[in-house]
Amino acid sequence: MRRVLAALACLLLPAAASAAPAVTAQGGWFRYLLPQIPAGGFVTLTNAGDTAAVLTGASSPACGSAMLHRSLNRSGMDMMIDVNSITIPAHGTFRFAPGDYHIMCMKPRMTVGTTADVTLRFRNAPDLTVPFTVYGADGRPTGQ
Amino acid sequence: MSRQALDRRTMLGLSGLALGGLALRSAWADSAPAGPAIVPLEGHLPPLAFRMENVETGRPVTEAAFRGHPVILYFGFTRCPDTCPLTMQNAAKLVTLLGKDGPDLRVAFVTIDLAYDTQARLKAYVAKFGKPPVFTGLRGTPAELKTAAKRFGVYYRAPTGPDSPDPESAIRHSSATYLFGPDGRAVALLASFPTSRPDLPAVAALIRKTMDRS
Repeated sequence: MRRVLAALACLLLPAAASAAPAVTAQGGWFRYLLPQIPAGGFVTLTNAGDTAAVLTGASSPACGSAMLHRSLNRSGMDMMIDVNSITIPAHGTFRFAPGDYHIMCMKPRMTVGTTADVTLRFRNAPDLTVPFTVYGADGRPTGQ
Repeated sequence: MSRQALDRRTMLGLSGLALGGLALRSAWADSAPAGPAIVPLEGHLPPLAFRMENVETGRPVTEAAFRGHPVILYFGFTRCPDTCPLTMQNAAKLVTLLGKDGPDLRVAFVTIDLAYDTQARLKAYVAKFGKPPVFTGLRGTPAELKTAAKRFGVYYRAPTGPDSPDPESAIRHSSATYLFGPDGRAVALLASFPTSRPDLPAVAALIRKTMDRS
């Protein structure tokens, strides 16, 4: 499937190589509480490329399993939904933030004050491994 | 559960509030509420009353323990990785913002996830945000939780059987965060409190007002 998409991209876009998404990550962090309690991860993704990037998943040796989730409040009801993919527009950014999109780190094994690597998987771009700073209950200090 | 079924149960759960004449948001909403940050509740919600276990002491506790203190009441669960810690972090910031009045506040976190939130786990969780007696974890029997949720128009659903796949994302609960005055009367729904834009100065001002009146 990936090969077919790549072939299609070559046909449709003469300058396919320069049009590929170019995603970088800024300010990754976890809110870590206790080992038995999932940690929420947040990061800002910037795509400098001419093509939208599609994030399809995340993984980390520090998480057991990791999932893309979104917190929603509907009619005063807090809930969380699984997110299959997240699109980072060409020349755009996407922000994971508390109370909204987050990476759910199911079985966190991490230490406050250190970093934990998270690998982000894209449908149309290479994997990106990002160090997330581990904060405690207070979360990331404001102004950072 | 189908969305329709959920909506029905949501409406049932919130009917107490709806009857109180509150306009509740019905559309998908972002983290920050579109409506007012603070919704006055006096006369629309019964006074604070409950009986549960205080996870700090392992002993039963009722509203009498909070008399004379402004109380923030929130229903959540420890496995909630995002909005519950965000709400508790807001509570911790609020205590700091209140300065010398901070230690008078009581923040009560009621777990809706009885299968997972043991006394020890809830105690460790609440301690991450603040010390007792300001921060209190409450854990009821199923009947005690049901009674409290009904009294305060709170809906919750926590499937926690061994076969439940990804129970975290199946758990749902009202985000309602209530402020009660030192006399136990319901003061306000802190609508923006469980969000990333809690308007803490306004909440602190309201808390000081309730303390002045008592």
